[in-house]
Amino acid sequence: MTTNRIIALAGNPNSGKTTIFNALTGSNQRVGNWPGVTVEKKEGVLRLEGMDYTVVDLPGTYGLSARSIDERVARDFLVRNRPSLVAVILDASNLERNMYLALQIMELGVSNVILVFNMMDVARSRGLDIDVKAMGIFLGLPIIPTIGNRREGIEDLKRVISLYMRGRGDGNDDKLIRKAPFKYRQELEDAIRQVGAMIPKDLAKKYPARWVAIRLMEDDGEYRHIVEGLASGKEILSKVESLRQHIEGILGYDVETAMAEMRYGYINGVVREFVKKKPSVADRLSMSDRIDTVVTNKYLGLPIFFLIMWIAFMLTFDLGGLFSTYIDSFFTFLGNITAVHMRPEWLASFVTDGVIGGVGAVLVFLPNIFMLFLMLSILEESGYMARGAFVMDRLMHAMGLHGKSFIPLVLGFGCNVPAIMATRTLENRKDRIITILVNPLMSCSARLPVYVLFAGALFRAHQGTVIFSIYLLGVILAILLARIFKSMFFKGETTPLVMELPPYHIPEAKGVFLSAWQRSGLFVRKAGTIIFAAVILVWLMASLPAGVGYGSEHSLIGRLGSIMAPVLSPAGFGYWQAAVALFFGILAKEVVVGTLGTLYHTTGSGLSAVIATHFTPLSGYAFMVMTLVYIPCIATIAVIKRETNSWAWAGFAVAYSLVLGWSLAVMIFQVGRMFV
Amino acid sequence: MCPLSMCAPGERVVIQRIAGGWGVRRRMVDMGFYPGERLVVVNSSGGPVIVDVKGTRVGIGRNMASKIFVTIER
Repeated sequence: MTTNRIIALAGNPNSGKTTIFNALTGSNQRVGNWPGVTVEKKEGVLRLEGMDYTVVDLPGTYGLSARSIDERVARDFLVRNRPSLVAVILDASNLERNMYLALQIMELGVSNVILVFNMMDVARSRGLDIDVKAMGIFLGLPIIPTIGNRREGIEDLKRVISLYMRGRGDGNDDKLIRKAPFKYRQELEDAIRQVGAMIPKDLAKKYPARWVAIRLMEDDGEYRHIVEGLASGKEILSKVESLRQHIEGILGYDVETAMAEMRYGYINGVVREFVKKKPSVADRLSMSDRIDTVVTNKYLGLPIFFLIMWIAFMLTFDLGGLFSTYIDSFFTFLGNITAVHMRPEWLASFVTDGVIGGVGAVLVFLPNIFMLFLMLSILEESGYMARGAFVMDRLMHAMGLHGKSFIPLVLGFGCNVPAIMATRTLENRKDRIITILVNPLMSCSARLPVYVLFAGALFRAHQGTVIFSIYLLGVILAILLARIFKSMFFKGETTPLVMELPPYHIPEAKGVFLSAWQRSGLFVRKAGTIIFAAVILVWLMASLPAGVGYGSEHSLIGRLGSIMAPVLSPAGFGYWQAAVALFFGILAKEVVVGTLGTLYHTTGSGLSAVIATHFTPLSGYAFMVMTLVYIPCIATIAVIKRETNSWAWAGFAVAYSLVLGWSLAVMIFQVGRMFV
Repeated sequence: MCPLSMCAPGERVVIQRIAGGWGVRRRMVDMGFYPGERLVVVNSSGGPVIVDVKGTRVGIGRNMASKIFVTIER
């Protein structure tokens, strides 16, 4: 075993791994990317008895078969960096599944392994009584029970880590005899040993020989490929083939199945031996099942899904709008003071028109955005999101997408940047690229201020419905384009949709609010940085050259806008202000509102009034559609480039959205004009 | 033997065969699905098939479910 100061945390998705990571490292964290891929890599420092250790949070995976980027990253890290200790975090209420990964990591055999049985409270509430101590002795490794979100057991975990890292075992050396390490049946073990002995030394330095032998017996293409390149490659592979046939002859079925069966069989035995099930509480599960009967029903599923979404949107706008009014009156009040009392005049203009007008116009929408993120957190936490993926699967499949694509798409309502990152869970590259390409059509929270402003000014009575229609249009476009892109660029099979469905539970108020708060904090920071900078630029360009009327057609910005405006006039908003707003909106979509605020030097209700004089409901709607579709913001373009690893796809995303946005806006205005 | 997608809620089934390439089968094994494993069909109403596998609920898209061949126990 190796000696370095690296501790890796491994575990299934939903095992509470991140909570444990946070509890161990506190604020000493660094977020980066895994080399070569864009999976987020979290590292932290754990200080124990004067020693600093590096804790690495591996991506959540179900196995180590390197089928998805996440699994490959996890396996490669374990193999290449050989951490001294791997702490496998398991959901104690679901050991039978979670142990599979633990077993594979033990099988890999490059590090010391300890098990952390997390969510012990959930296990207990399900009537599970786990004999942690006896199980640890049986497996020959320490098991630390924890309740991550209450920090219970964390000190024990730290103590065990410290002992291990100092090379003192788990402090119970007399018990460290492996009682029953996992073994395959005899014929297989013999075969693995024979193949393992044939693995040349330099490959065994990279991957443990036993591991390679196991994977070869399982017919893993990746390892076959590695071995093929060796001098003795042919010989090894033909040996593997004859052994496989020999064993299949004995068993009567294929080796992969047999090996999976033996692993699960072993796990099943261990769990049956050390976990007692009290028959009492299956209630929560059966309750969950009853909800699922309705929620995932063939006919009811989709209507329920849309109803839930609609309610979430209504709450976002109506409840959020209530608070927006207060923020609006605050900025109006502030603007009145600075305009009247601040001198010299250019400074008053800068503060009133530029800063308050621009940034204020954006911050007014903070309550809406907070509510939106709150709704998304509730959907995620309650367990409905995973069901949504299934309800949408049929629709998604009809449109050539994978059900799992639904989650990144919904996250896109919050912000396209993390949403595009979330496509990493898709195993198939073409599903991934299509989901990335259409993601900007999922209207992110930054575009919301534009809709709220225009719908509020032009469709007062029906603003909720109008905004909902814009979102719906985005979804429909996304689905149609996914279909088109698929037939244009990618054809062929899709990957299977198999997802764990965690039982429903009522989200914890604290967690949900915290998450919504952190995410909308990002919005405030954006208002303070990129939006602020853009707004200053707009103000400067609106004030220069010296002597022109502020924000007049003769100012720099007016000239710029006048050049672009004619292109937009077929869409009904050929004003230079609209052109400028859309132009700067590429920096960040909130800037559209910020720019209008700066140019018309007013915020909130004042801005609404100005909008109502410049736009008709029809041209306003065309403008909203344009805002929905045209060019993703800079951050999104950058993340598309990063995730697809290609400027061509990023460029394509920009090009198609611009063409589509403009065409739709023109079409809506021109067709609409015949009726209005 | 019939596809899992044709089983009714409440039925206990044993996986016999999973159709698909190595990658698909591998993925299914990691999630706990392999020939010989017992499942209980929890929900199947034209949408996804939800099964109980090793004590947890896993949803399987209709497409995939039609590629998992099972026998019904009693």
